[in-house]
Amino acid sequence: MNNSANDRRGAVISAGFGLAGQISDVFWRKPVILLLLMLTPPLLWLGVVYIGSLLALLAQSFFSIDEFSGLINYHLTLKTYGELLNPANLDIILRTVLMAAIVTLASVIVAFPVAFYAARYARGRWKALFYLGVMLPLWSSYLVKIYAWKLILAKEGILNWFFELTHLKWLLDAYLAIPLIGGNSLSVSYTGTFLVFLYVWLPFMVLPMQAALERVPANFLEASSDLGATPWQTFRNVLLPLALPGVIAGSIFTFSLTLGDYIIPQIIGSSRLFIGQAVYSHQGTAGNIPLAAAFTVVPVVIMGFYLWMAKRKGAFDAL
Amino acid sequence: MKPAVTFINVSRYFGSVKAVNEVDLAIQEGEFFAMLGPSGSGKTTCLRLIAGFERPTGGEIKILDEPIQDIPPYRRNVNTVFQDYALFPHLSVAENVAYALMIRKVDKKQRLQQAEEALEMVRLGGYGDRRPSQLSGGQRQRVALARALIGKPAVLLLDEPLGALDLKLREEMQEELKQLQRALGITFVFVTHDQSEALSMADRIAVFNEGEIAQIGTPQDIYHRPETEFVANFVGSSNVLPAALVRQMSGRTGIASLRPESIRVVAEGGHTAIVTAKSFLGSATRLSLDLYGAGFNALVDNSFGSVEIGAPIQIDWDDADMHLIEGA
Amino acid sequence: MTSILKKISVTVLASTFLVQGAMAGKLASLGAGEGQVNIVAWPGYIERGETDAAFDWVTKFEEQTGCKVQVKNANTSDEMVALMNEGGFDLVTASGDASLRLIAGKRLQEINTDLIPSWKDIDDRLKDAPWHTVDGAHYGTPYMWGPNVLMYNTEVFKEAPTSWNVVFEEMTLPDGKSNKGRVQAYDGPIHVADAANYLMAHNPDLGITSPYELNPDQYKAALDLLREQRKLVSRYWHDAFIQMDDFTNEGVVASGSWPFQVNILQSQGAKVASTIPAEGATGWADTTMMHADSENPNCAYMWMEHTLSSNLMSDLSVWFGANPGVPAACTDGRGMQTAEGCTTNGMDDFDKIKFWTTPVSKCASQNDTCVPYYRWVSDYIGVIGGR
Repeated sequence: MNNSANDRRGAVISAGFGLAGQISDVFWRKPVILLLLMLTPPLLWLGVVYIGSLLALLAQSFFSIDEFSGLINYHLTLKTYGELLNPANLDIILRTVLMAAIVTLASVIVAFPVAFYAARYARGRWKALFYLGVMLPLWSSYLVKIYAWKLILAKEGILNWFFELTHLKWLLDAYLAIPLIGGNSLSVSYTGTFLVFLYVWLPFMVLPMQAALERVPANFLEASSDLGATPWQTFRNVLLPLALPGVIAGSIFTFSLTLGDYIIPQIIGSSRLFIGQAVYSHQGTAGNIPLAAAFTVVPVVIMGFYLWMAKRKGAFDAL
Repeated sequence: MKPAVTFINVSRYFGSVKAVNEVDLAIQEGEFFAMLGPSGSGKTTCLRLIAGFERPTGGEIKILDEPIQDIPPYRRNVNTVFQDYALFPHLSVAENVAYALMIRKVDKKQRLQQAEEALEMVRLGGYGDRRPSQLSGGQRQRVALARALIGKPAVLLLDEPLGALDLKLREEMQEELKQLQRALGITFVFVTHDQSEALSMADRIAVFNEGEIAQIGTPQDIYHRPETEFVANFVGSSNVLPAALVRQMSGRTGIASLRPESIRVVAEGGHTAIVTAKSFLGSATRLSLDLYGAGFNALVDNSFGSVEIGAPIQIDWDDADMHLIEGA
Repeated sequence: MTSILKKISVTVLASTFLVQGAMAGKLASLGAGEGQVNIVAWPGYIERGETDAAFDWVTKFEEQTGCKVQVKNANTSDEMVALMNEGGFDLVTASGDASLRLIAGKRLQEINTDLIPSWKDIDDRLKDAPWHTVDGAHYGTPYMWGPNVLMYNTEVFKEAPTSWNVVFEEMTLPDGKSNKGRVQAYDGPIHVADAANYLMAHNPDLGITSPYELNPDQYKAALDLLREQRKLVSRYWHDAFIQMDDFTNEGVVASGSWPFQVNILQSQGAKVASTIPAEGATGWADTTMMHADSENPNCAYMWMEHTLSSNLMSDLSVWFGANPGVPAACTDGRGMQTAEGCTTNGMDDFDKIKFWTTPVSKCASQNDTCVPYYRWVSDYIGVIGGR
């Protein structure tokens, strides 16, 4: 019968979803259960594996190595941190931080026009080409890229050949003669290390920057120009402050990646150590785990300080 | 009186799209001028041409007799109130208003004082320390106005300034804008697609259609004496009587416009029309009618009694209200 | 208080060394294979023709014995020690720095040389080498060894350099140009031993008897020499392939190196050769050693015999640029290696080589006042950093 109560009920509530359907119903009524189910595994992972290992590392840095036997002394002490202040270790820290800062600054400068063009003007096929161009370097092996750069920068490499071809070799030689940033060839100089860092981390700056610039409405720029601001003034007073969260996000990538990398300076550069390499050599055969741990704490502290400064300067106000 | 803005044969093409096509226009100093038209008619592009955000493909634009098509927007003494206000979210209300002064390197104390005065002018005194996100739509609108006026522009451009506001606020702001314009004596050029807004506020109106100006005139001219069928239709949604009907009724040639409010319901002796739809508007009732096979709109007062959809009804109007459109 | 603690720890250490003498007995006789053998090895040490079909010394063994060979690669000595501590392996190709640690940690068992028919073929110079023999007990079969040679460019050096001074002291090379920026050194703290080895010959007053046992004064002299070297070196080498690239593209003409790089560069037609200068050289020697708790002892013994008797050492010698622990592998045509090839690899220079061991503070030659390895690490970092 059409009018029976059961048929009427079926018209209102569709049945037949089985057990899976009933589980979905429970989730719908109590969304907290679903949230717990979804979040517990990653939180456990993060909590135990990540935070746990970080704490273990931190603990290690408060031990010290026994001068006599080379064994680790499991008494809490700040001696290992004191060792960080040795001239040689301080050199490593300063060298790394300075490089990271310069690489970050340079990537902001190089990435901005690219990101700005992509965010404001590129459409359709050009936009796809932009993404391809920026992402392509990320797809090929990191090592392959660095070896390729070694070939470009070597004394008998592509760049040198190009300078010779254009009779500008004197320019390169004059540059390489500058102490500190120069060297026997580009590939054994800080300049080479810098160039490769810049190349490898640039996509990590371009992408967040482009995302941030895309969120700045076009009429903000017109409004600024309308109120008498030259393009440069518009850039300084409107575009940069509004794109700052993207710049900060990108700089966190480029800065921390440079701080931690130990492969690029090993292949390109003058063999002077960076923090990552120092960690690698101290934790290896040397068995000086406390000093290695203390070295790893350095970038963590620097990044914490950097974020705190950025927050104080209002970098996240426009979020 | 010299013209504040002059367009001489100005065109702006986007590829094959003629957004603005050979427009001639003269806006007088101190005038409240409206650019009215449906979306895509070229009115906003004209505004952007004056502001300098677009450059003409051809023709000449003058502001106060100065040719300005080669002058960038930041060097034109023209300011704009944007449709969605474009207030800078990272600056406070006062900093937004004082932006133009900051750019001109006016000293900080002085510019904040001027900003406060400008805010008082738009009845927002004391709001300077807030962020734009903490204001209501109407308040933001007035901040945008204060920001655009603080530099004392020769011409103020307003792009659909009331579009985002609700009806009541919109009516209030219309009155306020008119008073402000009268008090300041600045030329206002404002773009709208809302014909009632244009009619109630403007000294003169340019009606745009497909990149060209269909008619320029006072609100009365535009409303009562439309020169084209488009203007008649767009402004006040006139009934357009086909030429055959006009000849039959009045013996004149050409098509004619007839305002909906000119139509009355009569007991007998009028034209017989069929009611196809009706809607009660409070102070009046709008009827959709079928008259000799043509669709008609009528706005009638509620005293005519009740009528059923599908029922015949007698309607009439004064011949004088029937405006013959020339050139059609 | 501290001195008491020190005494206690010394006693504990001493007793651990004593205990090792009383380790579980060696295997008395061989039985049937267990079907598998698990080996911890340096990368490239155990090839089954997968990298290059010509280099295969596993397949035949598996066919003959039915023991499936499973290899776990380790990149550092520490990794090897860690893996052996974890357990589950039968054999390890340990270097001189790891082997004694493993023995002291009781991770290895003494082997019964009578169960290995080819033991007699082992190079006499290696049979009782101290890195695998403790108190007359053998803990493994010698595998491969090699010197750290001086590689040089034959266009610059018409005759082989006779001294390491070309990489330690600023000088004009035979082509009339300075060696500044044209020489390299190894980017590892063990390079301190190379400096010490050089001083051993040129500054006998320091009284260095082993480059791995340096008292503070000797150590300081070595570091000073390395600081001078820093001015000559643009980039230290770390990765064998990067060094090869530096010789071809960066204008490097002389450096400490491995026969491995020399062989490959020569096969590519590069104008390089290698030599062991008058001061001698440092080097490395690896041993196949057996886990104390090996679950597949029969297959493990079969593998050890296989390393000594088959084509393995001969082909590996070609593959890796190293010297076989069995001299006959160079000459009897069991594999690809020839007598000339072994000479290139440094087979005849055994006596000139100071094999690598980990520097520890307890050293016989300097009254237990040696500078330990971890100091080498931090100080060498400082030297490269310009301190």
